[in-house]
Amino acid sequence: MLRIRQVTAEVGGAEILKGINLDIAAGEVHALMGPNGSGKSTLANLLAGRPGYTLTGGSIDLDDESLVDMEAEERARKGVFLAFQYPIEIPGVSNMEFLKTALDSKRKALGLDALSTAEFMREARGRAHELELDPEFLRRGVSEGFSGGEKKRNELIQMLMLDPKLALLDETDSGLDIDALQVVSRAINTFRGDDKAVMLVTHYSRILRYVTPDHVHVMKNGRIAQSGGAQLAERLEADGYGWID
Amino acid sequence: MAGSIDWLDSLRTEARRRFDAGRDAWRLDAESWKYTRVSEFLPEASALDISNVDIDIADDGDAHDFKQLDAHARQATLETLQSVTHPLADLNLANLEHGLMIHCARGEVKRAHLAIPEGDYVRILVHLEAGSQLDLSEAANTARPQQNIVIQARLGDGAVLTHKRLSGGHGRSWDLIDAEVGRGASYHLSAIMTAPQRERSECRLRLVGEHARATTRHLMIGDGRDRRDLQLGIDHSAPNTGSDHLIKTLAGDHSQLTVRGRMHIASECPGADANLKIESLLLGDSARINAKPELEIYTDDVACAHGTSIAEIDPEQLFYLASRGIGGSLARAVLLKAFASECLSDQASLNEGAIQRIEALAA
Repeated sequence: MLRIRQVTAEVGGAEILKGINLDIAAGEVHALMGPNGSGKSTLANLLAGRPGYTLTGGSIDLDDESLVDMEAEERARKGVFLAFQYPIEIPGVSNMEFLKTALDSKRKALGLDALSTAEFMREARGRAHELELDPEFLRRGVSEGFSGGEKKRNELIQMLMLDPKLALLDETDSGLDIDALQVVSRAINTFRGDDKAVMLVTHYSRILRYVTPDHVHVMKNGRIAQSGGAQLAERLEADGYGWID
Repeated sequence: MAGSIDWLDSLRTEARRRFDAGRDAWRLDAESWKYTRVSEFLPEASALDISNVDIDIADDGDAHDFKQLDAHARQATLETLQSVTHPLADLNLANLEHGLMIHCARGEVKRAHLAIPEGDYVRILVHLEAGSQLDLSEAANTARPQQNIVIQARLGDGAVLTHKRLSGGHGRSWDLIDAEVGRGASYHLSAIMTAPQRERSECRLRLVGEHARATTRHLMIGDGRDRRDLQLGIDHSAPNTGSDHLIKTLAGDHSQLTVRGRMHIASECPGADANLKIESLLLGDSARINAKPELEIYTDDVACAHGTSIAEIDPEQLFYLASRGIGGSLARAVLLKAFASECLSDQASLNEGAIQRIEALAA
């Protein structure tokens, strides 16, 4: 699914990623952990094609196709989805209109007809129900006036609706209360599947109690300094990052 | 249906005389004409010969032409026509081709849609008696190379006028709204300014009764070499009056959009509450926006605020859309429509032209 080789990247002229190698196979969930400033979010944004995040070396392939020269919207249509750490508010565009436009764009790129409004509404309401969000939220402006937790849940409604191949979840668990964390975890587990891959960026091991990762990586100073199984997250919880070189 | 109206003739002659006598003086009103040339809106001199002008009326059932007015209504009409002092109103009256009167009797509730009739000079009088309500929408005839519309509205105590308009002209248009809002009355204006080429709109609202209220929403869209100029003047002339004004402008290509918003709170008007916001998006390196709020406050104990912003499309929002597969012109169109949404009409037919122009700007 995703193959990253010797990736170096800079943001605002500063080198942040200093040689990343990572493979995420279909069906796998990888947790990416590490102290603040280690490059976790930079990697997620670089993969999504965020302007200003410049690849200076290496390769990024999704299903053997290079993402390097693709614009963000093309990557999205190829199946890359970024759940934002700080979801953007767009007053004046309802969630419903936004989601329908996104879904129509994707279906058009795949040569499919747009969903009818009735079909779309039925699915959107169903997804809102799964994320325990009042469907009334769908009528409101994108993330406008949402609480932090509502914004994160809204990101996952979009993920489930758009049904990408690769989900990059950038601290989706930050700022969630225990109930919301369980709801969000359930959505991620719903999304998991043999043809899906997830890169879960997080500071905390608590979400990994609900979403069991296949692999855990620790980033430090722009590199993956340690990789292991789910037990690595437990050790980090107990001992912190100090022991990792 | 064509013909002159005798009882208006002397008034029209006098208007012509005033216009000619005053034209040099009002051209010198430098502030209101700082960014727009008067000459762009004046007709050729020969067109001012009123002896050749007939008054040609179309009656749509809700609006009554001046010819149909009885003696009592004529007198009221004459008084209303004379009550506005403005060079444009004089020019309009001197050359008048269409005159429409909409009247709501005490407590009456009406809805009217006007397709502004063919003609260069049109006067619309709106008279709402106490407690009446009118939902008025009007769309200008965009096939005309020039159109000049003056709307005079008089709102009696407790009356409510909801006014939606789509300005027009296909070359140059110059409009004036002159509204007087009585005690406890409300005037709500939603105006979309998208006519091609040259457009100037003057909006003068006077809150003359206690608790009178006015809200205005203007959407101005400029593309190509459009020149658009909005002059908004609000006079709070009674205690506890309220007004709220939002102007959104989108300027692309080589267009130039000008907004001057003047709020005047007279002496002895405590409790007045006035807000003015001008929000602009600059979409082209050669586009230009001139935004100027003005406050004149002569009473203590008032709340008065204004804000002006000029920005470009937010790159963070663009990336958010791109990350969901919405890119290029579609993403820009989504964001421009979102920006404009607060000033779009709740009447879809009035928005169609604006949406088309926004999509053209986004392309």
